[in-house]
Amino acid sequence: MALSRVQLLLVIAFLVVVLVELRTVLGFFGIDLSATTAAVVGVVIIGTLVLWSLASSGDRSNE
Amino acid sequence: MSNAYIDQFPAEAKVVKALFYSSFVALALGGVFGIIQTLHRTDIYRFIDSANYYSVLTAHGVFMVITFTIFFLVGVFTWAVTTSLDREVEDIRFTWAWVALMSIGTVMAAVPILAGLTDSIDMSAAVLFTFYAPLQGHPLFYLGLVLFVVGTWVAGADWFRSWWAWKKENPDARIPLPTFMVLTTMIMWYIATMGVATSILVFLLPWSLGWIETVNPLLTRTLFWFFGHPVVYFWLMPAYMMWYVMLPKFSGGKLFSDPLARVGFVLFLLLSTPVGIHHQYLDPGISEGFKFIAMTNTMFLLLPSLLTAFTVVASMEHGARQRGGTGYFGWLKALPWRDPVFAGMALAGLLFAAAGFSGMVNAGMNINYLVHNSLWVVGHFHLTVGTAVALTFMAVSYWFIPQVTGKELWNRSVALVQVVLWFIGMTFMTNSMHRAGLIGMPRRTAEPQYEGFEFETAVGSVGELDAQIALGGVLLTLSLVLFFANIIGTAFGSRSDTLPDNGYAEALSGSDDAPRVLDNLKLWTAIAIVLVIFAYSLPLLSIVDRGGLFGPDIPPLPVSLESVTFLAFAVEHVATVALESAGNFAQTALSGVIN
Repeated sequence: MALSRVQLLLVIAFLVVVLVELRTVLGFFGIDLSATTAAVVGVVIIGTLVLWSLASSGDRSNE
Repeated sequence: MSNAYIDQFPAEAKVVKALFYSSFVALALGGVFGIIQTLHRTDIYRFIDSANYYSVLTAHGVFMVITFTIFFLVGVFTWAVTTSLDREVEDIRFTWAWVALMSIGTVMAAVPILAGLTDSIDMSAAVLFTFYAPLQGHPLFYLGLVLFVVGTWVAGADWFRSWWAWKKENPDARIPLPTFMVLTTMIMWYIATMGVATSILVFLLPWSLGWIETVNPLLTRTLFWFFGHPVVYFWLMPAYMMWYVMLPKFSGGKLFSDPLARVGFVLFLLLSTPVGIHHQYLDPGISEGFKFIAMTNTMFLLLPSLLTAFTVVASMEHGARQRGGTGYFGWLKALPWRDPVFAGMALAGLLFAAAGFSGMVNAGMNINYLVHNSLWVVGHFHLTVGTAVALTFMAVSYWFIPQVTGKELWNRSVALVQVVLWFIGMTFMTNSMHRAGLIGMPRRTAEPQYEGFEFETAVGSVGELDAQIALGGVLLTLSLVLFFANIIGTAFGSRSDTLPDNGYAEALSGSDDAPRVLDNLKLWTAIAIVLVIFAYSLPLLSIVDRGGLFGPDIPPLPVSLESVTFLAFAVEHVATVALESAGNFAQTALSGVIN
């Protein structure tokens, strides 16, 4: 794993915050993202992160 | 054999443990009322009568911000004084006496609040945490609050007693930093609680007992906020203390600067109280000039907060570099994120930065009008007391509970998930609360839906905002369940001999670098009192002058059928005369235009 489980948990926690706020920020620029789209984008980004972390070499899962 | 707090101070450890457990009972009760309230307000699930919502709101507020926080912080202060002075309390029976006073006070205040939820007991105190007139509670509620506050005063006397005894034996030594922080916080608390003590003892309690007929609502509001803002610092200063003296230790380093920490606490002592009027920007009975002074003082409060942010982050960076961290931001990776104590406190500090920004909006007199009494304010204080304080207290419990019980923490992974879940839940909840406040959604309302009116959101819909608030509330409740599982699991664990030693962080720049004047508590107390006199004497005099000490002297109106007939005739006569004059004026004006 590229990230340990703890690091992954914390990065996901921060990402959730960014994704929640991103929708509001984009709204200020006239870009309306529906809640469903935001949720799908979030799942894709977090899923990609988890897959990348699992697929990367180097075992850091016990750190 | 370990060298934990329970081994060094077994008698005091029992006191601190009792205080922590009391605070956790309040946290559990407050949490239950919190989720009921969240689901009701957002109309996701309503199973209580809306009339009872205000009792639920009072219970959530009082249990969370009075009982949970204050029971916990007096426990922390007892630990701080005994540990940093390296001496037992002077008389443990005296210590148990104030614990008993606070506990009896809590039960007395809780009974009428909870009784308000049932019709079978004729008692209620649905006065909200901001318990000023015209809302009136049962006398038992006010008596309970008085006992509770007196208990904290006696607790402060206990710590001052320890310090005076220590000072006799160490006349030239500097006050150890944790004790310095306790003493400055308590001086601030003594000054601040004068407002609420006067409000309760002179006005609210006699009024609720029927001894006096009326009160001056603006006076009780002002006296409440005299205490209502500094009480925020009474919660925050122990959290700051944990960030200053414990976070550097958990980061693996030292406190960056002891003198800066002392300056920060002195500034909090000076500036916490003369600012309460900023909660009353929309109160018509206080002149704008006084509000402007309160705003200026409030903005100065940013200074110690920014000093704290700098010192704490610098201390964390020092710790991270000791652990091998490098680069401008690379050191962040070297911090002990796996440790729930560190991770919880760091995440609490991060959300506190967001709270600082929304607080600046509250503090600004003109922009405050946009968000005053809206859900924005609720979002703000869920970031301050609900996260910076509550999350710090929960996280540091994972270090304290083993110290005072002598038992290993039940599960560190569950603890880590718990603090992260609180962070995410609070982000959902407060983000949507701030946004709802911006569109004018009110606070303290059971059903914020109105006939023929729809709130217009900038982004998304009101339904989404409600869903986000409810989701945040559910995550926070889940986080609380994990917290209690860990505390109960630890309490039922077996005694360990491998606990970390009791202690706190050393400083890179120690107390010897701090000017001795910083330890002159008499000087800072005198200046703090003078500032309070400047900020409050004229507004209070003017409120009493305009509205009377016990309310305005309203002569009784002549209410009878004859007077109503006379009034109707008078109104009709005035209206006829006004219409005739308007007609004459229009006629004159029109002929002028035509000619």
